[in-house]
Amino acid sequence: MRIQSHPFVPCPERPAVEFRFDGTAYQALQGESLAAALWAVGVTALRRSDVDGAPRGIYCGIGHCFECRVHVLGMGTVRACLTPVTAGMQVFSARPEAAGAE
Amino acid sequence: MNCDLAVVGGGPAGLAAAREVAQRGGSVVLFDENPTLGGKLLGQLHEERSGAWWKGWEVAARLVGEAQSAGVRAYTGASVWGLEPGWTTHVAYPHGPASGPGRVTAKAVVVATGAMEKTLPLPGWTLPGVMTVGAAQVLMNVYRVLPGLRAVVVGIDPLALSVARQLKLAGAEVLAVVPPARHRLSTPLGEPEHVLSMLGAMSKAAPNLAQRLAGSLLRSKAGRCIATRTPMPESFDVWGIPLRLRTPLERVEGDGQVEAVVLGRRGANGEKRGPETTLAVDVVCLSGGLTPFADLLAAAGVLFTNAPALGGAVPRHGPAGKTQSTGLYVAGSAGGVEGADVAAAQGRAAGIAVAMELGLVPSSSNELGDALRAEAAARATAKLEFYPGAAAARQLLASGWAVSG
Repeated sequence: MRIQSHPFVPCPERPAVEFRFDGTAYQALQGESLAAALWAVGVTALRRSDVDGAPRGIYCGIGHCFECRVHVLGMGTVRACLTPVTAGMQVFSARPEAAGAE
Repeated sequence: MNCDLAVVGGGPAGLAAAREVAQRGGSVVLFDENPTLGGKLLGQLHEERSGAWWKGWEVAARLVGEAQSAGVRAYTGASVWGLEPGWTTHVAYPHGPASGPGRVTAKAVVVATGAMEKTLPLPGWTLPGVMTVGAAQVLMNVYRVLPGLRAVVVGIDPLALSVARQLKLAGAEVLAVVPPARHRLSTPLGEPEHVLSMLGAMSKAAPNLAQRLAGSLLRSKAGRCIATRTPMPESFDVWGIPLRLRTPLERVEGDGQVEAVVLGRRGANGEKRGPETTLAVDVVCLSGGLTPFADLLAAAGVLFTNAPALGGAVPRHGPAGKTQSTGLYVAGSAGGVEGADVAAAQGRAAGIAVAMELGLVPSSSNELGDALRAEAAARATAKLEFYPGAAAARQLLASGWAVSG
């Protein structure tokens, strides 16, 4: 969820945009990281482990660990914590052909 | 593209180094992986002794403005993946459209890539909702997103305490700050002597804690030896946050994401005692400690030395961040973990040293001496000390450099 009130951190001045994660539409603030946008709407599992299929999500948050890797249509595998969200972005927890998408 | 200086990393050290060379007429490019310049300053927030609150993002805005006014060409979303003698930097733009050059040849390079968190493996640590304190800080202070409503922080150190306080400010309930349980993969983080030395280090940031711990006694090794023979204190409340030293985190539990933590119970000498307790939480923030993130320097052949008080493996360097390779410098936490003020001072010194090497500053100038003195002053007045003994470790590194280069 987004922070409702904070004594010091200013409200982001970013326009609202829509993006999709595994086909579901969500609202985000343009330019925030995909990791933050998904965490804000309660999506904590970004992928499944290659080893045991267990859900995985943000760990280091600063681009070092690659735990937050997702697939963005037109970009390939990216780190959600470093990728700014744009209007109409299509994000997947696995490669789109595996998800049956275009 | 050719230029005088390429800077890798747009945090306080990189921005300061870039500014100094550009202000003296050098052509400078700067690369940063993040969407916004400022490095970790962007998420930092803490209370000064005066009671005023220091906001890292405001400092970042000032440094960015200075660098841009000086004519630094900065590229964001830019991952520098290669560094070759000559010096050639190879750049990729994986998070968006390519917004800058793919290859730059520069007469000098300043690597200011900062620090990374060491891992803190624990059973259940891969569950979504277990994240580093750094990740929580970015979510809260950069993106204004709440990491969770009920948090436990694992690790007794200055950064853990700072983030615990930030979690409270953001609206989370911080149930406890606890050490990690000891297990076959664990580091010294859970050991009583380490915990006590961290409490000593934290006393610099938390004056009320200092009073209760007689902080200066604990900071000395003798004090620690004495203290560990007496029962380790069980708990403190700092800023309304419960530090619970005798209930280490044993494991994280949940179905698909974090739902609870299980805490053990330790007696006065660290021995197991009593039953475990379970706390319902939705986020667990791990503080494994910071260590320099200097892979590019390793790839470029720079040798490293072990300096625990600076975070661990530190690239060997001399005054102003000069490495053994001509034209290659390190600045900021990549050369040893300290705070933002020290990083900015190091960046300034490295920038001036580069400018001298490029012939932009006369060798008779006092500027470098001034900058090095300013770095020492920043260290002496640092508000947040990550590890006790950074100044002594720097002296050791400097004397090693003076002997062998």
